[in-house]
Amino acid sequence: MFKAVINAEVFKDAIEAVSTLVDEAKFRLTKDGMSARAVDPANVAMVAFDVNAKAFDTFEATEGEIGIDLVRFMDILGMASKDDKLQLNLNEETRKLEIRTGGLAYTLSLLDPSSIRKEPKVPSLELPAKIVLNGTELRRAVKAAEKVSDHMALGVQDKTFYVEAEGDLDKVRLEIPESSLVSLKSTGNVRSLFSLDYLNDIVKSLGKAEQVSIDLGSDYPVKFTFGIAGGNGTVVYLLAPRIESE
Amino acid sequence: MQRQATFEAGYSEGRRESLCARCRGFMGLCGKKVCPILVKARTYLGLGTLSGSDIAGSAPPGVFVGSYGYPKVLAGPLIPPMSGDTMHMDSEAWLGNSFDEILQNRFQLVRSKSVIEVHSAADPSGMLEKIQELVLSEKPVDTEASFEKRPDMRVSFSMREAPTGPSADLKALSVIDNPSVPRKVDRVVSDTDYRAAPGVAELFDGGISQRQITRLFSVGMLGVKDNRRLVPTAWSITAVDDIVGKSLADRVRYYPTIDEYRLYRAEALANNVVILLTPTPWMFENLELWHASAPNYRVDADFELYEGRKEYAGNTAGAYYAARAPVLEYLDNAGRQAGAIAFLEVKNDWIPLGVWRFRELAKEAMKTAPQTFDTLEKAVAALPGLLYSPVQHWLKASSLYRYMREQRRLTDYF
Repeated sequence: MFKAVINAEVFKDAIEAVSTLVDEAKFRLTKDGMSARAVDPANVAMVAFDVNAKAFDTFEATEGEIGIDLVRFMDILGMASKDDKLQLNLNEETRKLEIRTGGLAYTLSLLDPSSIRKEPKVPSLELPAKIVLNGTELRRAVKAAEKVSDHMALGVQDKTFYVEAEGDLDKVRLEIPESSLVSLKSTGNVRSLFSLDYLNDIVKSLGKAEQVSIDLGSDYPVKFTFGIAGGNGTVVYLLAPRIESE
Repeated sequence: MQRQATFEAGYSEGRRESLCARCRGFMGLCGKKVCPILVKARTYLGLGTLSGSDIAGSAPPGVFVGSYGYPKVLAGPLIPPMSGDTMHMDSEAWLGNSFDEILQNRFQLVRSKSVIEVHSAADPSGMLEKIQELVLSEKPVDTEASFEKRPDMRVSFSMREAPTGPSADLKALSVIDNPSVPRKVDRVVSDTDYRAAPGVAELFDGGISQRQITRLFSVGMLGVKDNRRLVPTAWSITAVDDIVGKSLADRVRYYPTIDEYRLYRAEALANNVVILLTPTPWMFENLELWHASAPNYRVDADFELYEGRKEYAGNTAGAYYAARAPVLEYLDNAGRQAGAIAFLEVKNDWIPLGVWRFRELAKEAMKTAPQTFDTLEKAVAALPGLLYSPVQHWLKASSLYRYMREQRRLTDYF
């Protein structure tokens, strides 16, 4: 059983965190909220998504799993206006999700959860640096890097967080000193390189967050953590690095 | 290496001196007043049979739509001065043929021209209606045409289309035969609420030759009625390659990946195509090298990752889409997913015959038994034996090669 009401924009922003990485996902429902774990087909990026029942106006659910085609789901959510309420209701008999918003009633066919790529294991990472900053800053850096290259370095050097991209001809670097960050903790200098193709997807959702925390190492995966749904949910992205080879 | 005679003995001298691939046959960069390749080409025109300003023959059923003057373009059927089975003249199934034979095929076709507004395809009448009727057929159609003047004997080469022979302004056209129309074609074409892209995909899945789909697309017989347009042949070739590729990729993205690296290869005349498949999700890169750029060996490249690309592949243009479609077709038939890098090599004795070369060669390559390897390094180490130019230039230009070597997976950190 699943029945919930939530602000349409809040819900759309939350789901976008997952849909930007994968086309379909398995959502786990409990009485306390909904969650999803998904990894992209190349096993390079992963998202862990959790929304608490408190983010909803009303939320009733029993333990279960639903498979959602996120491309179609986002299409439907895109039809809702900003302040509309969204009513979600799972029809157990037809295995369809009924979505009502602004007078529109949609019926979304669900996917068989077993047909969706297996949920990933979450690697446990001990990362030496932790940077907390505003999401828009990071989005700006990614957009700038995209103009010159297809990959970008994130690093900490002498208590300064930097983002750097180098193409065949051009180079761009953004430095943010500790004083302009929310916080920076680092046990030394770190630097890892990432594909902009993935970062660009990730910042779509992350760029809207007030505070994003970045856990970073050297030639190691990066972890982005930020809140969604007014603090009643969290999204974690993990992204595997590129290792420069000669 | 197997060398096919590109031109008759005695001609090789001219080839060495003129190197028409240098200017790709367009601009006379070699400094000669008359391009020897064009002179040679002209001798294949069916001069004797084309004395008058009328022609009767079995049209293959090819059609040519120009881009000059768009949206008022020159369009008309390609008609040879002979009857019988003329399908081979416009088939693009010419991998086994020499330059001479290919040019001979092309230059016997008289390209008839008539000015047609592209939008008139939404509601065809007059000349366009007859052209459309002819293009519906899967077999040659007996046709009679009369021209304003005796056909003009100039020939032209293009990067994308097969070369074209003499041309003449069309005065009257009559289709004598009843065209033989495959049922699938009839159904898709007469559905005026069916969008062009799914229409193309359905025809392709239904086994209609890509050549015929391109013709139908070009004369504006696909798509929602009001949106139907004439599409210049050059653009329609790539549009159909792209649509076919995209619809195949939508399926291929869900198949399990292959589990080794594979190298395929095919060559013909002055072209060599090598395809590297990798045990990764779908991604594709097209690399093109002209030997004329030696010793620097310039490599043009375009690539897409799993999601596909949104902008036109401007560096390698039509060749990108022509090479991508057959690779996807192979993967779809095998029910497997893979990444692919296509190496397209153009040697010096080349004259432009059109982008179909790369499509057909890629198709041919995917039919061969591949060499298989368990690592990317081993597969790359085998490349020098398959290419005629230094491998480092290719690898330096390849974004995907770099990506595949550098990108780690999360599973590496468990």
